[in-house]
Amino acid sequence: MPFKRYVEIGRVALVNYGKEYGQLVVIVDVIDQNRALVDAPDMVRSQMNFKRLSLTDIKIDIKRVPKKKTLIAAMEAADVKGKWEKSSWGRKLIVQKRRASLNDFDRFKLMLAKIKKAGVVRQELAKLKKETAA
Amino acid sequence: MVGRRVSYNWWGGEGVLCVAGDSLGEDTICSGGELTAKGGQKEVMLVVMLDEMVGAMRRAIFTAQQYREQLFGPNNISRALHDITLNTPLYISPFQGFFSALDPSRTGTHSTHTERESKSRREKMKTILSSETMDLPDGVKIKVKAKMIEVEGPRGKLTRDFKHLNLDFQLITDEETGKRKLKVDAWFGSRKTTAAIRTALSHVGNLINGVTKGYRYKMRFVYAHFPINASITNGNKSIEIRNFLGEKKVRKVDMLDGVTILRSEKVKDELVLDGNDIELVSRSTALINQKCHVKNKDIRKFLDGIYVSEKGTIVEEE
Repeated sequence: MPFKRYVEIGRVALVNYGKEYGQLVVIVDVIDQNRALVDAPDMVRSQMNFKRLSLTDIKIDIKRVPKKKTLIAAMEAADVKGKWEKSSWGRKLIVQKRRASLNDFDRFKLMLAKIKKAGVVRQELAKLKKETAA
Repeated sequence: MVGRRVSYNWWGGEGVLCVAGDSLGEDTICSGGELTAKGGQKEVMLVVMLDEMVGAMRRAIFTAQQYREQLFGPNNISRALHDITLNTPLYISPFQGFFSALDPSRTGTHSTHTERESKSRREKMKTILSSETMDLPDGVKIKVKAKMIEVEGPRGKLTRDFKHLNLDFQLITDEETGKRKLKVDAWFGSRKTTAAIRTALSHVGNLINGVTKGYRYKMRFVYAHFPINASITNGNKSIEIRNFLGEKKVRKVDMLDGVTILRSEKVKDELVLDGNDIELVSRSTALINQKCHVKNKDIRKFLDGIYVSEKGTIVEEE
């Protein structure tokens, strides 16, 4: 039950509400009980309410309010992007984005692939059933 | 009028730290603050714009500069102008005789918030994290799952659930000594939840005690004329009391789960209640005590009853 992901300087978080929805940001300072100063390589450093952030497991090593260059260097050193894309949460988000961006032809191809996969699975199942019945 | 807006003297004067509701001495005068005269003692209700310090101060705690730095970090004047809840110590300057605080020409910005708003603001202070740990002795096995604590020891097993509290319980191992500890956290707790941490630990301590040493409560019969006649029935699980104050009514008390009662052999008119759970043992003694209350009489004179004489443990330790 104890908490493992703490709000601290260097914690990487995902924005879950608002204009920057879906972006990964780094908590760079804590303003007060409800707000944090947040920064990312491609955005202006700004304040955000904690309610808009979902904490991740990733943490980078920075001092309070680093310059943009130091922040980017620290993010490269910790390989935030790589870790995120390998993590199950990150992979799920990528899949969701892909599915949302399919066009009709893609969905058609997807349907055929699903049918084919289901057919192969059913064949194997039938073989196993025959073995146990015999 | 209770105020919210406060500002500081940032050219480094010295003054007195106080909180809203403090009483000041007779001749401590607040500059620009609103004071009420309450039976001769002035009470701080509101502190507003602070002016320059004049005269010697009496109870300086530290300078405005240091105070401001402590709260907000050095060189951060803008922070000093934020709203502060009334729980934060405010800062007033003592004026030795120059201006009366009640002089309207010296009052600064007035607050227009009602008392009720400020009261609810006062209750909002939340401590980010408060936690406390407790050593666990060897010889007891403790399981913590979902706010249910289960303690097992030589005398038996006890469980207690703390689901009514908003606390995190976890078992940790201390780094240097390697001993096991129970840690209780309260995140963003009000005063009451922070207070509940230590009581939860005390309850767990009682569970551990009960399971290792047990609880033994002794009660004595007190009577002036009519000897209290008590017989233990039902295999040490209930007691019948007769002839209390000469009454014909027979009082029967059943002990709670896990509590046994017996009449002490060597000592005259004594009952001994034993059990593992302190709550049950003490509640059983209370039930016996309450059955023997005197009615419709002056209780200062009619002192009869069965009273708790000793609260101890079963296993004595020398």
